[in-house]
Amino acid sequence: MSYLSLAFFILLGLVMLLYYVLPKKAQWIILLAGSLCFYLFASYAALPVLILETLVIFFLAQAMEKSSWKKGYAAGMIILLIVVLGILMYVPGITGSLFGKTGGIVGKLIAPLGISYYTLMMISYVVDLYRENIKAETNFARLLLFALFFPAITQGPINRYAPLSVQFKTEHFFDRKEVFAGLVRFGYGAFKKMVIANRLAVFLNAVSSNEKAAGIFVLMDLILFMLQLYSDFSGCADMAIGMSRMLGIGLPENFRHPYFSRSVSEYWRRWHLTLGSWLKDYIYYPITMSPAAKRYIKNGKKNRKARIKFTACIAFFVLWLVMGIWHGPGIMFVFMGLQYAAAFIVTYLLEPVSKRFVKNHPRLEANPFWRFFQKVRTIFLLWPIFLNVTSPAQLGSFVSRIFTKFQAGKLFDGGLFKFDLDGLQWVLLLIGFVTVLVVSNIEEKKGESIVEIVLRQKLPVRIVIYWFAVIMILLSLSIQNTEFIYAQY
Amino acid sequence: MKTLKTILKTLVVFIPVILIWIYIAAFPGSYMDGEYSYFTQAKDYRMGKSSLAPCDILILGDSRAKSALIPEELSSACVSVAEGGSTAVEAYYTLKDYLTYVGKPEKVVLSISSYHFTSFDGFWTRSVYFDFLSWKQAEEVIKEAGSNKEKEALEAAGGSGLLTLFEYKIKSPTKYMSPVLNSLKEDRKSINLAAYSEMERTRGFKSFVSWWPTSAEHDMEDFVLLKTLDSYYRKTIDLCIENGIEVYSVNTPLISDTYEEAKKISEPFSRYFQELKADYPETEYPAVHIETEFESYDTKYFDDADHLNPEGAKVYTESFKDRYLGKGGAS
Repeated sequence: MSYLSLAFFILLGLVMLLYYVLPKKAQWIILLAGSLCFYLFASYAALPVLILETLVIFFLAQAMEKSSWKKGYAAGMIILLIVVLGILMYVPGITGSLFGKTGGIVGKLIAPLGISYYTLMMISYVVDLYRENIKAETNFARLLLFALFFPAITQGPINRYAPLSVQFKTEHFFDRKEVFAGLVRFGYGAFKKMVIANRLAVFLNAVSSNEKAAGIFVLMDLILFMLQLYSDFSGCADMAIGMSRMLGIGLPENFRHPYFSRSVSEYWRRWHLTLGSWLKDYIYYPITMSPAAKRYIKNGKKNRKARIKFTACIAFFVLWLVMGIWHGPGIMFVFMGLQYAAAFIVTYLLEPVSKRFVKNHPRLEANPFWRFFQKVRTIFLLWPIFLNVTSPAQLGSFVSRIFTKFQAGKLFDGGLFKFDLDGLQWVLLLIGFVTVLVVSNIEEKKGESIVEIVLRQKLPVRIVIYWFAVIMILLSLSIQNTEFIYAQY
Repeated sequence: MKTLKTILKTLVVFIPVILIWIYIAAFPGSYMDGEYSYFTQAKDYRMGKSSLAPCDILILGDSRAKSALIPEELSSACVSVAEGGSTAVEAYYTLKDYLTYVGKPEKVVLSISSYHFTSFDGFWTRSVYFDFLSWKQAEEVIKEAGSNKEKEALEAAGGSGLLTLFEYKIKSPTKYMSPVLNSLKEDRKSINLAAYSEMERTRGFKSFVSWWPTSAEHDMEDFVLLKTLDSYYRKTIDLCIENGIEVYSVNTPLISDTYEEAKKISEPFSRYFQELKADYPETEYPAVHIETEFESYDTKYFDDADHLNPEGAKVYTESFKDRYLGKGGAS
């Protein structure tokens, strides 16, 4: 079930109606029922598996709290979560050959919706419990709601148990302004997804599947994929945050205009924030703060700084490799992890040099060309090429065509329109892109969400803005809605 | 007062949606592609709203039937309501409505290709999309497909059940914005008016400009009969028998180029018709003629790998007449 389907709007409408009409004590039960319905429609065969897995975690978590052997319990639960993730996500070939082709129940079982998000959230629950940051949930249904909360299960944000569970226990009253603000945020997400991401999906799929496409179009494919990925992913996050806000529940932000980043580390403070903080809290710190790491740093009295750096590099390497593998089976995801690890490690090691350079050239900071160069360099270093191609052979074919069959002239002789997007669709795409660029600039400068800025405007201005968005979305209904890219991870 | 203000404000925000929605619901002939008019004319005919007179021979089937049998060559009152992408589902409801609203033809020619026994093909994208089937009719199909465990086949045709049907029936912009946008590039109102007139003039005959380079049989892997479509085919024959209508279940010719290759499909399909023939013996009244074999025509008689061209249609219609109606056509 897509967030942009009639079925989902009916479900959301029903959930909201019951949520605000029925007694406040039943609110979390309505959310759980809505989440189960959503999951049932989206990936019904996997639901029993996830319920069972959550039930096991629920009991083991309670046992762990009372036990003196917390480490064993925590390790056991994490292994269980990873093994189930591995079976469901990483060995579809095995399940496929055991049960036949990918159709029917087995087909839906192979890649359950949001399984990797579910796993990360449950691992954070287990680790937080082990660290005694939270208490074990005593109500299984509430834990299940945390695991399957429908606005976030498709592709995040990756929630933490403590802030979300508190909100599930709080009574929420209907607030017209908040509901409308949530609706506007949802609308902005739908705008990004439908006006930009869906249109680009048509073009990119046509280019990728055409082995004779000229190099110019292949290069466009690789560049525009970044825009598609951002519009799709951040659009979904906007929708998730928006619909949660309509329910009075705050979800963490997942994006802060990542393509404005001037360094690799800044990029990861702006892109997929909840995954970044998860990786930091549950992989980076456990490695760098581990007794082994501390011992290693302590033992080298002379070159302590170098040892600290080496430990950090090891942590970066593991962290990004895990991030790559988390995306699913396939060598390209490993390459992606290695690419990000290399970018991080190199920029981390060169940081003192870079700082010295900037210190020696104080005027550079104010120079727009320098700032632009930094942004382009960051984007180039983190170019998600390995996420865009499915195999090394395809990557080879792409690169080969860019260098041997570029044929730039084809861009201007009507060749562009041979990839399933006509002139009108390109114009609409451009309008969408410029809109998001302008909105992002405004948000960046003002330091607040466009929703709040729009809601402060006078009614006629607001109506013009809404009409523009509504008309653009209406015109985008002519394009087939595609699955969210990150819903598969 | 506050609530009323909120409702009014919300309505103002959604004015563009409301306007588009009204346009979609009220003026389908202004934005739909030409095929819409073929289906609309066929629907008007079966509901007794067409200017064409009641027929003696009613041709039911898919696009191959539409392009293979020339109604005016068969009799002075023969009409074809065969439509592209149609299966026995559309044939059954067309006949049922025709019997209810117009009258009883003497003969029914039923011709559906093998692919349309293995796929619901145009159920969503044409029959439901063009409003050719009513809610009740489409709902019956969905339920029968569900009870036959053929929901996946229905989904493969482009829809998932009653909710999708609801979206089409309320003329949701989510389903109709694509033709609205495409209508900006050509005068679809004129195209539709011309297409409707053409159908009235030719009595439902249509020759197709080439679009399929390979035949459906060539593209199919195997012949997997859908129970629902078999059931509707039989129901159509039963409906004819109940009303004393002669039935001619015929197979249009296959292209000679790929005739041998097509045997992987035509042979099991032929066996299906043999079973059907055993269930409906010709000796019973009214006569039920079921063809079990497939003939091939030279490539020169084809517009594309699936559809006969006008010359081929002429040859085939003559041969049909010789076989079933005698030289003079229908009596």
